[in-house]
Amino acid sequence: MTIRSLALLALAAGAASAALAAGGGGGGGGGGGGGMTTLSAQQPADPQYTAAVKAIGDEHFADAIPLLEAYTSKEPGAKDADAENWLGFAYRHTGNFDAAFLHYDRALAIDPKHRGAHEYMGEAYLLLNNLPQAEEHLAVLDKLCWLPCSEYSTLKGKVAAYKTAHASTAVGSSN
Amino acid sequence: MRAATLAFALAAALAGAPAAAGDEAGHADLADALRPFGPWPAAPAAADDPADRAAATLGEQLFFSPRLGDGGGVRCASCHEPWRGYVDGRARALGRAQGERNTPTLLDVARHRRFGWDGARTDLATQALRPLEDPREMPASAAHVAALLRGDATLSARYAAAFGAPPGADDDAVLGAVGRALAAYVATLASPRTPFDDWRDAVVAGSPAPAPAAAAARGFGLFAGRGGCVGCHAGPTFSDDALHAPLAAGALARVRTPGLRGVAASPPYMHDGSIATLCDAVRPHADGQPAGLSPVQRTDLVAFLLTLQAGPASGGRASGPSPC
Repeated sequence: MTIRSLALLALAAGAASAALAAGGGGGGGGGGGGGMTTLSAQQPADPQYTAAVKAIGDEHFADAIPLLEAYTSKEPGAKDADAENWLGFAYRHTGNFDAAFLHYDRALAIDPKHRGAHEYMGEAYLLLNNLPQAEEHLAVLDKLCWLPCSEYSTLKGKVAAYKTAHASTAVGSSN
Repeated sequence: MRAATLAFALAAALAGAPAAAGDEAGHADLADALRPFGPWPAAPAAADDPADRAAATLGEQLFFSPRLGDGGGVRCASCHEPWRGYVDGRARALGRAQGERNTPTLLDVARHRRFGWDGARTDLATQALRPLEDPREMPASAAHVAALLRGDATLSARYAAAFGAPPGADDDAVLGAVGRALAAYVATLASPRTPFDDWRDAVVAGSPAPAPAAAAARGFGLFAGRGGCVGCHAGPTFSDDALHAPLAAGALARVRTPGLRGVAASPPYMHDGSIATLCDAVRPHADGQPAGLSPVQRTDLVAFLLTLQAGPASGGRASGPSPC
């Protein structure tokens, strides 16, 4: 699934709500991810959040960041794990891994079962050649996804591809 | 405190009317037993001034950054994962390589006077740099850290906001400042209030107490009484910060008493992560305490420890309501 299609799905799911529910949030790294679910149908859509998700769909990641920073700086965005996950995703695509990890961690602090954040955290670790940490998040997803879920299958595929390409240099394997 | 008196006070508390039970002395004993474990949260450990806030902001970025260590994609937050209560769920920490010790939580770390399982450091800023010194964790030289701070505009600006000037040419001085920034950030991490705190405060204040579950109340009686736990797990953090013989044999002859707030969410236990459940963790330690507890009493003790948890225990691996 492409980033644009994920973002469109997110916007559709959030058309009558402020944010996406746990398990969704964020396009996959390089297109993986998905698993958008519903959320707080009681809340009106936040214009900054909506604009940010649209910008991410258009792959204008730098444009999405200030919108999401503003949205997450106040209630209810401050407790929106999906928004934090999107923010981490946007930062990652601008090359800012410090901020990407910080916001993935914030997403998980809000919702430890957030499948999207576990997937993207795992993918980010793979990009940094830390296979054990990626596998840890894959193991968490394996427990969370008692039915098949795209977050698990996507990360599993990327871990497998990483092992094929980097087996001899994986972190921890030679220490 | 006489065990019988405390037991009576606990029974009265379970009836929901500790004072009305007619044993004011017993209630006073219960209040005396509960008083040392609060109030909670305690006064903020970190000073609330702009420089400290700026240092904490810098420290937060470094804590989550994969660049602080010199390669390998290992972060402070790789082992101290916020979503797990700042532990990693592993028996022994895994950084660049497998370590020998269980990752301790960072919650309430500023309330302690010794750091690390061995209690070897008494200054949080130098403790914060310890993982950088260990090749198994996230090793980095002073030169690497200083170059990172000098070469990144955001980090350099945050450094200047915290310490009055951009990072200078002295690598060791920059590294020391990074330790202070990390310490300023982790000092902000505190455990939330728990059901135990509600009970403790109400009893101490003499107001109607939210009665704990019977097993939990009995467990506190054991904790503060014949179990002898309070001899080491004392005070609001449930740690005396002293060094004691460990439950599990290992490389360390003595370990710092860990705090118990949130303990149900942080298995496995002990300095080497060799104990999987709370039920097993409340078996006699190497010093013989808690001595002679039956399986039912250990179950009560675990029920009490569960009241030190703000939310449900994580992972399903902590001991739950099932008997020990």
